[in-house]
Amino acid sequence: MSEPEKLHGLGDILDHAPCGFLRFNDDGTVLRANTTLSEMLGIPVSAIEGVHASSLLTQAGKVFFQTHFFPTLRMQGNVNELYLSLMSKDGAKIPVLINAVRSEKPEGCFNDCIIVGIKERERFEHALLQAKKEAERANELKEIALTELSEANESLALAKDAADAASLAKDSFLAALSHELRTPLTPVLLTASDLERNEVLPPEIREQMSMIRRNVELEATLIDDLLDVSRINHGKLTLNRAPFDLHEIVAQTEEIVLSEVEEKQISLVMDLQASSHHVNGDPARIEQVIWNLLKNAVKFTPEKGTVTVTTKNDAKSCVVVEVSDTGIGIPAEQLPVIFTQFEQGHATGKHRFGGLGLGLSISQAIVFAHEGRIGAESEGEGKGSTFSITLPTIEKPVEASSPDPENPGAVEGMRILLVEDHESTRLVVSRLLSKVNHDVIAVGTVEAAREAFDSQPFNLVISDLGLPDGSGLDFMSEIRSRSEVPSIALSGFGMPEDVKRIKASGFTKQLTKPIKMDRLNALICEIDHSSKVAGGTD
Amino acid sequence: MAEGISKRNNVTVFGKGSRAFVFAHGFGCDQHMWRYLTPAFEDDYRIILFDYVGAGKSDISAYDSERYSTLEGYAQDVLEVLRELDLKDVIFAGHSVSSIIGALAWLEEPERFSHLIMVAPSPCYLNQLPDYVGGFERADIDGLLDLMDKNFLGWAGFLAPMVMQNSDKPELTGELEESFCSTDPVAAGEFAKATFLSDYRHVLPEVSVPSLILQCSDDVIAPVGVGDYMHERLPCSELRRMKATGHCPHVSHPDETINLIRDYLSSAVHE
Repeated sequence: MSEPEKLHGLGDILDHAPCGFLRFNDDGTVLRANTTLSEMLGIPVSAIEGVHASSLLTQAGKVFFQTHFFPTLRMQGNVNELYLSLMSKDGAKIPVLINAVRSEKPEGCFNDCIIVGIKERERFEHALLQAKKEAERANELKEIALTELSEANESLALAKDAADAASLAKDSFLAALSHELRTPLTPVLLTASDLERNEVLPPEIREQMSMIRRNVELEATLIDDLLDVSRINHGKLTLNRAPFDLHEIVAQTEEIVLSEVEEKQISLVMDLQASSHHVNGDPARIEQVIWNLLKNAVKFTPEKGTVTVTTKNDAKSCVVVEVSDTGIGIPAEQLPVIFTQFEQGHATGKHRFGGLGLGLSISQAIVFAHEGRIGAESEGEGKGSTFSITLPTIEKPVEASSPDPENPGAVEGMRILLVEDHESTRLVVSRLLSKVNHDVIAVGTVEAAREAFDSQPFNLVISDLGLPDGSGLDFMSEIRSRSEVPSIALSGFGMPEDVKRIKASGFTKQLTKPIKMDRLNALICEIDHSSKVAGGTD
Repeated sequence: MAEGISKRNNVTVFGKGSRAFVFAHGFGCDQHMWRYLTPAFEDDYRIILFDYVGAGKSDISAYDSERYSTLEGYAQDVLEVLRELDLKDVIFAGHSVSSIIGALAWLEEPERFSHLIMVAPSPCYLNQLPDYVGGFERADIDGLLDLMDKNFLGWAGFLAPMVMQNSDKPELTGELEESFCSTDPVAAGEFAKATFLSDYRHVLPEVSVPSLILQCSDDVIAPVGVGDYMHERLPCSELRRMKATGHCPHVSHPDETINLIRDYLSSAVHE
C-alpha cells in the first residue's frame, strides 16, 4: 500500500471512527474535525474547521472550556474524562466526554480531542443524582424525625417519671389512708366483740354489740375492697401461694354466712362432689372470692329461698365451684358488665342492696391471677343466678402438722411489750391480752418502748408501725441487733410493699388492722408453739 | 499567625526585584496559570503568587462558605496576604474575576497598591438588558455549576459529597494536588456563584487607581463590549485590545500579554 493510500486509509478511519475528533491550535482555532463529530453536531466539517473550538459548546461549556479545560490542557499537556456539553446546530445540548492531548511539533502546537457522546450515561447519572438528592432529603427528614423522636422520648421519659412519682404518691396515700381508716376501727371492734361474748350482760345489749361488730367488720371489708381495686388497677395484686384444700375453704365461708342464712330462713345446700379439690393458690384470696359469691347469693335471695354450693371436676381436671340461688336474677343485658367495677346487676335502684359493686370485679381479678375462670349465668329477672369459678387443681399434698389457728389451745402467760400510740386501741388490746393471762406492758412511743425493752425481758413484742416519735419498723430493726424476741406488727398498711418492708425489718408476724382478737390470739399461739419447738425464747 | 496566611493561601515568593508584583488567579484555576508570565518579570520584581482558599493547594479547612459567598471575602484573602508580607505599592495582576477582587481590595486599603493589571475582566457576567450585555443568563450559570459538579465531584463525589473537606481522606487530597488547576468542588461551586452572579459595576467609578485592562478578542466570558464598559467607568484606566483569543491570554498568548504589561508598566512608572 502506497503512502498516500495508507494516509487516505487512516484518514478514512479517523473520519468514521466511533467517536468525534477535533484538533485545535493554542489560539483555540479548529484545524480538523471528523465526520462523526460533524454528524453529532449536524454541522458540515467545513463549517467546524476554522471556528474557535469553544464556539461548539454551550454557553456554560464555553466558560468551563476557557477557565478550566484550556488552561489545564495547556499546562498539563492532557486532560482526561472531561465532561462538557456541545451545542448542536438546532440548539440541542449534547453531553460528551472528552480526552485531550497537546503536542508541540515543529509545524505548531496541536490539541487533539476525542469526543464520546454520553447521552445514555447522562440519563443514568441524572437519575442517580436525583436519587441521591432524594436520599439526602430523606436522610435529612430522617434526622429531623429522629431528633423529634428523641425529644419526644425525653418528654415521654419526663412524663413517665412524673406519672411514676404520682403513682408512688398515690400508693403511699392509699397506704396511709388505709392505716387511718382502719386504726379507729380496732378498739371499736375489739370492745364490741368482747362485750358481745360477755355473758354477764343482758342479751339485748349483747345483740347490739353484735350489730356494732358486724358493721365495723363490714366497714373494714369495704376498705379492703377499695384497696384491692387499687392494687388490681395498678397490677399489684400479689398472691401468697400455697397448696390448700378448696373444700375446707368452702366450709369456712359457709360458717361466715350462717347467721344471715338463718335470719332469712334460706336453705343452704352444700353439694361438694369434686374428687380433686386441692389448689395451689392464695387460700385467703380464694376464700375472699367464695365468700363474696356466697354473700351475694344470700343477699340477693329473698327469705325462704335456696342457695346451693356445688363443686365438681371438669374434663380438664379443674375444680368448679358453683354458687346458685333462687334470687332476683340478672337481666340478660347486665350479664356482660357484671364483673365491671362499680356495677351491680340492676342498673336501677343500684343501692337497694348496698355495697359498692366492687366484689365481683375483685373476685374476677383474683381468679384470673390463679389462671382460673369466673362466670355468671341467669335465666333472667326473678329466675335466680349461678356464679361459677374454675381453678386448676393439684395432687393432694402430704399433710404437715401445724397448729390449728381456729383452736389455739392453751397458751401460757407471756410477757408482752405492746407499742401502740392510738390510746383506745392500746387500752383495749392491753386489757384483752391481760384477760387471757398475759403480762402486758403497754407504751405509746418508740422512746418508751426502747426504755421498757432495755429494762426487762419480754417473750413477745407487738408493735404498731406509725408512732409519734418514729417507726415501728426502725424500732424492730434496732432491737433485732440484740434480740431474737418474736414480734407481731400491727398495721393498717395493707400494700404488698409494706408487707415486704415489715418482714425486712425483722417482725415475725404481721396483723392488719382492725385487729380481731381471735386472729391475734391465734398468732400468739403460733409463736408460742414454734418458740417451744425451737427451744424457748430469751 | 505569621506563617498562617502564607500557609493558608499557599503563598509563593520569588524573584530579584524589590518591588512586589502580585499575581492573582481567576475562577477555575490556581497560581499555576501564571507560569508563562512570571519568568519575564522575576528579574525585576519580587513575585508573589497565591491560591485563594478553596483553590490549588490552599488550606481547605480554612474555607468558610459565608466569607467566600461574595468577592469581598476573596478580597480579604488578598489583603491578608499583603498585610502578612507587609507589602505596599504593589503591582497587582488579576485574571478575570480577580480584577474586581483587586479593585475591592484597593478600595479598602489603597496604599497597598500602585497599579492594577486587569486580565480579561468583567464587573458583571449576567446580562442586565437593555443597558448591559454581560454575556450570560442565569440558566447558563446553572449549566456551569452542573458541569463543575460533574467534572470536579466525579463518581466519588456523587456518592460522597464534600469529600474534599474530609481531611481524613488524604488519598483524595493527594490526587488533587498532583493536577493543575485543582479545586475543591464545593469551594469551586461557591466561587462560581460569587463570580458569575455578582454585579460590581457600581464600584468602578470609585476605583481611581491606575489600571490596565487587557481585553481579549473573541472572549465569551468577557466580551469586547464589557472591556469598553470598564474602561469608560474606571477613572485611571488604559484599555489594550489583544490579538489573543479566548479568556486566558496569559496562558494562550503569554508573549503578547507580557509585552503589553511591560509597556504599560514602563510608561506608567516613568510618568
